[in-house]
Amino acid sequence: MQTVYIYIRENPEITLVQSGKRPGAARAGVACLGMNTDAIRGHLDGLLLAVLESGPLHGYGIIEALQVRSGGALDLPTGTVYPALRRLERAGWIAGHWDTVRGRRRRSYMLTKAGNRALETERAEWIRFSGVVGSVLGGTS
Amino acid sequence: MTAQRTVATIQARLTGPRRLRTELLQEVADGLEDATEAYQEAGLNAADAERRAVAEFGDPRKVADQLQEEIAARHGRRSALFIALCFPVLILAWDLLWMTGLVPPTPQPAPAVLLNNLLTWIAVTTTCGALVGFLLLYFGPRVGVAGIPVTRAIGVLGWLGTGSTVLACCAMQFTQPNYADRMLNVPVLSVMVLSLVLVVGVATAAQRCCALATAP
Repeated sequence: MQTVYIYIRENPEITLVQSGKRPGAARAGVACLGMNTDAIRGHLDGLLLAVLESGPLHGYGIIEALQVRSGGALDLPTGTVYPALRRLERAGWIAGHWDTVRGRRRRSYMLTKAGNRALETERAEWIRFSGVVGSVLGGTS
Repeated sequence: MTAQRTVATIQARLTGPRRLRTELLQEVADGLEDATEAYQEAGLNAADAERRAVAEFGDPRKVADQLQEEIAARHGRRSALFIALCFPVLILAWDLLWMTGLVPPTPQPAPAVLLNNLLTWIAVTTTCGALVGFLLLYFGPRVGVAGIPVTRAIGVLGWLGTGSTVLACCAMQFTQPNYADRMLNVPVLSVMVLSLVLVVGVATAAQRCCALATAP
């Protein structure tokens, strides 16, 4: 059985058509659109909180989720995710614990209540910001 | 560069508690292993999969510096709390000796009163500073406060607090001629030993804060 992911450009959602293989394989097949790293860094905390909203994930699972949800557009050095996770843990926004994932010991992270509130704030600010910038950059109709 | 070499590069740049370092390195190594496996499952051969995983990881020295900041901040937070508890305990322990009459009350010369007030002021200032440091390291990541400068500041504060306390205590000996005689009883000696332990503890925590905040 093979996993097939379809990336719909107009609606960047990844659809799992058939299960049975690691999602990482799909991530490897997603083309990297190379979004500016500096642009991402300012929103890294929010992005990490957002991918943890659906449930606990381990380090590489978070990287996969970021890539899959962005359709491969996030060109972020994967190594920077680990210190960022520890920083968010120190802030009390996520909680980390060692877990067994597919028979291996992995450190998993989950969103805390404070993290949920932070995500809501980040999301609201982003919607407001993107709305304002979009209305200006979108030009006059 | 291989995955093993990437982890080794990070390991060489990290200093701090062994358990935390091992945990951080394990997490990074697991991530690289998972990435390599994912690329292999996507059709790359083992060598290419590892090469791609390492290339996407980024500069291991930068990752090490960011991890070091977390190690320092965690130690800084613990140290700040420790310092904030030690100084009030010190002052309280010495005050209790006088309040309970374990040290016979004698009129103190003006310099001794001045030094006593100075010691209280040092303890209050150091405690307040340490509490501010603790809060900055706890809530700092939420508002973008960097951990390294705060940890370093806690280290300096710990040194200043212990240094000035020891100096003021030494000066106290010269202001009261019979000061040493009054110290020769079990309760006073117990408080002296407690003070020594706490001062050494604070100095050690402060030294580690400075060391971790300046590494590598």
